[in-house]
Amino acid sequence: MRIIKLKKIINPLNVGYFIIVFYTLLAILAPLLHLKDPKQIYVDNMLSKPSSEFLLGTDLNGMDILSRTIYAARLDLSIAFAAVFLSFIIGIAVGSLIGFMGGFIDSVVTRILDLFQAYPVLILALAISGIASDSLITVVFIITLVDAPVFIRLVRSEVIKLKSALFVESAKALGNNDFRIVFRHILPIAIPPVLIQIPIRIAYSINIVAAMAFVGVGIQQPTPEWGSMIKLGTPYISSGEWWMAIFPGIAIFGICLALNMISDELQKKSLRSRS
Amino acid sequence: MSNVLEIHNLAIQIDSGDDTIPAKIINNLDLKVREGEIHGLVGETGAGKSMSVWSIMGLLPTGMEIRSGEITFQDQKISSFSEKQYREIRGKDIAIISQNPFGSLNPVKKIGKQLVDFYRQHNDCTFAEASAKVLEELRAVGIPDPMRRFHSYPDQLSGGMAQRILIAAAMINRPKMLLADEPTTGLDVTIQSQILELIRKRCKELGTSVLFITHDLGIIAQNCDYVSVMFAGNIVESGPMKEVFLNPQHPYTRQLLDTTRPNNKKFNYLDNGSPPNLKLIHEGCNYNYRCQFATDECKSPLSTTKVDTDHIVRCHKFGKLDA
Amino acid sequence: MPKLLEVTNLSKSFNSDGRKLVAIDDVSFTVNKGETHGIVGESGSGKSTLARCILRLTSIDSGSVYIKSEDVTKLKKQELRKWRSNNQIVFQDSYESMNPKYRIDWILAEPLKLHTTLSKSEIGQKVSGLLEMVQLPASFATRFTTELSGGQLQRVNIARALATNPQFLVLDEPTSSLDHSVQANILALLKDLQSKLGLTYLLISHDLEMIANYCDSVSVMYLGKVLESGKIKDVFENPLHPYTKALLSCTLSANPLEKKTQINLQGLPFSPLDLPKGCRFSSRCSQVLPKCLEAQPEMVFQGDHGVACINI
Repeated sequence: MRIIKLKKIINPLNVGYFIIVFYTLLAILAPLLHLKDPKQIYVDNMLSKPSSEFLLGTDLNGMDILSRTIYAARLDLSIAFAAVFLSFIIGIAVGSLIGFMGGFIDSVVTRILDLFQAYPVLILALAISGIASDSLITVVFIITLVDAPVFIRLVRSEVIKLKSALFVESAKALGNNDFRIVFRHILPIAIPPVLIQIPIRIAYSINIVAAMAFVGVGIQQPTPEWGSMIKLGTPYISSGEWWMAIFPGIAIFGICLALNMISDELQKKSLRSRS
Repeated sequence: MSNVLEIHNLAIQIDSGDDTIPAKIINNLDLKVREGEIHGLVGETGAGKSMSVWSIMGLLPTGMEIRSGEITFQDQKISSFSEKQYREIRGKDIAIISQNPFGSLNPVKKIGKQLVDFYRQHNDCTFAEASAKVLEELRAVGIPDPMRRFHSYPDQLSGGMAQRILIAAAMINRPKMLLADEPTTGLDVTIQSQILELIRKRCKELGTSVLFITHDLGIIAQNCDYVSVMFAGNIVESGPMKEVFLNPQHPYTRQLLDTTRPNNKKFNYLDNGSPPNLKLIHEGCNYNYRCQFATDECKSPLSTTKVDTDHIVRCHKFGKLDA
Repeated sequence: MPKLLEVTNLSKSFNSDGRKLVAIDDVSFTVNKGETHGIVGESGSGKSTLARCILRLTSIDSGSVYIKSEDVTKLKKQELRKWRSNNQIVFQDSYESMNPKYRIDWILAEPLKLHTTLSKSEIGQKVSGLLEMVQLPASFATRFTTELSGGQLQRVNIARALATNPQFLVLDEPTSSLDHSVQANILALLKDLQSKLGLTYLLISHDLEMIANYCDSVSVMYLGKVLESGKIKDVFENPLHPYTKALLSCTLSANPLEKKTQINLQGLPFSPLDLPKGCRFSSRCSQVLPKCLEAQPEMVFQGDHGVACINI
């Protein structure tokens, strides 16, 4: 009996949620965890192996990797969550508008989206960071630029599908205005499939933030960030100081795995409920 | 006149998953189709008409199985056939046409090729010989310019044309029995009459018996020799069509016939038309929840009463309805 | 009998990949208050488009629609929305015509929220009243659409359409997807409500039996045109147009003693994308003459009975 109950609780979805919550709590509670200052340089302990004092070792600048990894979560997660959330809102607003109205506006906006999505992300990021400052806002802006078109298209396609549904025509026949039709009838059904895309987009965004820092765009040293930590540590893997790059790597891997698991399970659930 | 098809005491059970009580969707079903007869099977959605047809062909979906009873076709007990044995008679001795002709046609293969391939499955001959046969059959079903249709794809056909082609396919092997599952539902009424006439003509020509499933009483009245009225997996009344339609004995049959003449009803029975709950199927009369004559007696097992030669009814209140 | 609905020279075409698809062409008919007018036709006749044009759910190319002397085609957006509370439609597919996310009470309350200023509790009362009117138990209010059968849902559909006490109801194949026993019950309900509430119906169907049993007058449509129209008795007992005759002959009677010779239409119908300048029915008519191919026949009336055929 107990084993069956345990198996029911330990399913991919719950494990995924657990990991996300774990990360989020660590990130929020970081200042309370008696960690070492992530930007503090320990001159005597540069490039030292994981030990009882520095649980995950120190990097070539003498900064504690454990605290840096955890503090980096605050940055990476907040950027990704913020950007995806913003993109989601923009997606609903723009997607429902152009999907419902169709015609000229729809064609124009879709072409603009094509233009944006034609560029490889990092090229776009480099281009924009060349003009703008190397700040948090810039990074959020770039990620939103990448994610918003995806959400706009998703919402748009759902709205177009539902636009010609009989219950929408019925709603019109009852005397609903366009606004009510979109908000009361179309969006409640259009949004759930779009929500399912959020976990995977967050995973993607975290990767982009890290990749950007890796190529030297956006977040720079000494601010702790997974991507820049990996960049710093990569040359040292072959020479034996593996801990610099591996731990931030595991951090990214962990949360992306969790998000993927959640995404998979949600997709499966939605397919099941549709049949 | 011998019976081509005989279904005796058939019960089909559905695996209802969580429930401990297996739901019988077909129960105590008796049906006989004679040689050369056009037998109509009428009932509402969910009565089990299509299910009966599939069980004859051995095509019950997973989760459904024959629990008891037997199906005899040309004196062979086909209900205990193996899949291999079924495949030998399907399409050859028993043919089937369904409601949506396009569902039975491969959209990416030409019509001619599909029919030729089908013919060669049951007849050993060359492609040329088969093609000639197919063309002949297309002509026989009244398709103008059969050569053109032979080289067409299904999406180039209208609904009526596609159904004709399916009839050609069904009859090409000269089956002894044709199962027609609502073949004209969805077609325009002017096309429908053409298709019905074609089925009638062709089957009489070739001596094929027909089991015609429909919910349309007009079709039965104008095309069938015999009729069986089905409700909740059971035949409630059966017999020569004229007999049953002019002298119906079961309250369901009576109420059904009244729906065709709403302004001058003969019986004026109450019936709210709500579908039966499969989980509440019992051994007695399953029409009782809708019947204005039902009493406690109606929950007890039914027996078949003979009204006249070949006209039977299954009702506890037989003879007491007109009191 | 005062006129309620007057449709004059109504036309509507669609654009299909650059080609013109004529849905309805120069359609005219009138419906008297309190009566039921039938529109009968097979697939492609344009009857569904007609329903939508009359209620302005689709734009109109030309012609006029007068309901109670008000030109519907000239109504502005705001006026139109108010007008809708008085003129409703019941669609064929009851499941698809309701939003699956909402409960029955929300669905029934929607028209009341849109067009009245009733309080929440007043609306609640009205909803219970509506369920009672269509003979459904009050407990259905808290159910979802997937929990009801086709027939039950169609009753909800009717209740919703009648929530704001409309004068006019378009019934677009209201029972075509239902079983006969259920069909009979729904139609009886509609007839009962018509006399109780003084409603005027436009009944659209391909089922001639239904039209014959429930309508006062009828228009027979074919490829967007009205070929024959008039009182039920006139059209059904004395059909004038070859198409109407064929249609009636193909309607199979459930009385085995009533044997009709079926008029089998030979030939193929024209495509709505490629219509001839002559009579639309000429490709299948057994009485076709060279004159028929020259121009479209005009509707000629003998009292109320009109027919568009030069061979009469």
